[in-house]
Amino acid sequence: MRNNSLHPEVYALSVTLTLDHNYRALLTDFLAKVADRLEERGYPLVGHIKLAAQNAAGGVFYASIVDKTTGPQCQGGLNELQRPATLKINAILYQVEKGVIQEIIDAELKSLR
Amino acid sequence: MQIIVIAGFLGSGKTSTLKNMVSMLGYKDPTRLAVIINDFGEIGIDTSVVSTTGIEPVELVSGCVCCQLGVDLIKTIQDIYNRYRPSTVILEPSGVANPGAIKEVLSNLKGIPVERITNLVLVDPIRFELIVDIPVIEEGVAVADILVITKTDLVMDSEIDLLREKLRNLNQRAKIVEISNIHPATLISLIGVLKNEE
Repeated sequence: MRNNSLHPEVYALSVTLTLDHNYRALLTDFLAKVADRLEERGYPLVGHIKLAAQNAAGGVFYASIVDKTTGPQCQGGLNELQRPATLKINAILYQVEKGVIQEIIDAELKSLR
Repeated sequence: MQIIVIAGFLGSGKTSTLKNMVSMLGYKDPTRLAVIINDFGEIGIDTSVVSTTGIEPVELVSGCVCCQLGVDLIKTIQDIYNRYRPSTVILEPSGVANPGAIKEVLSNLKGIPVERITNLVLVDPIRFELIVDIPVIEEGVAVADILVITKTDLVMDSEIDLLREKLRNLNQRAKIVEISNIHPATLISLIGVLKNEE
């Protein structure tokens, strides 16, 4: 069911995972897939989904998606990939129930682990 | 002390603009510049991005500075002033914040010599039509001192001209500036307009 409230729904989480050299493609694909899954269920992307990956060696990889046509945008990068990284995800979306956002993000997150 | 508010809807390019502005200003010293970032979610992400410039932003999370965190914002600015006496404070509110309400919150600042508050409102030319019906968008444009059209590398000049016209109808007073954060040099015009405001 569409959430027609003028207030956004927020879903945020933080997980620890080990990333390999392919992390840029992996994380930007993750954002694109979440946007695809939302659209497949009838929710256009109004708002944003952001993520930041950081590890103890320094460096931050940051990516976000606000529009399906332009796709995910990213900047920065991680150092020393053998160290576990903390991945923070923050979704703020209009016109969609929080439960739907959570279900889609959690399902796509499983494929990252 | 001057306060610059970089407002704009989710995904309008606030964090990239803030990061590029901080890099261009080149201030690393908290007595020159302090940055406050408000993330609506429980986990702040924008702070990690901006801290790569060498500035350590103060983070306000889990709510919006235009409403739930209004008191925290005032207290944070007062704390920053008492500690560092910076000449400039830049505030990046959450993308769901109402710039008009932030203006009201900031009017409650007492005991601090605030010379000027400049409200920048960023507008994403690709999604403006899609989101203009969300009340904070139109209200935000109306209260802006400077309207910043972002992502100009992704749209045609004719689309920017059309958007300028629409923005002008909503706010006759604001200066309108165009930038692309992919090309940070385009921010020179924005820095110039801010300096002229001084």
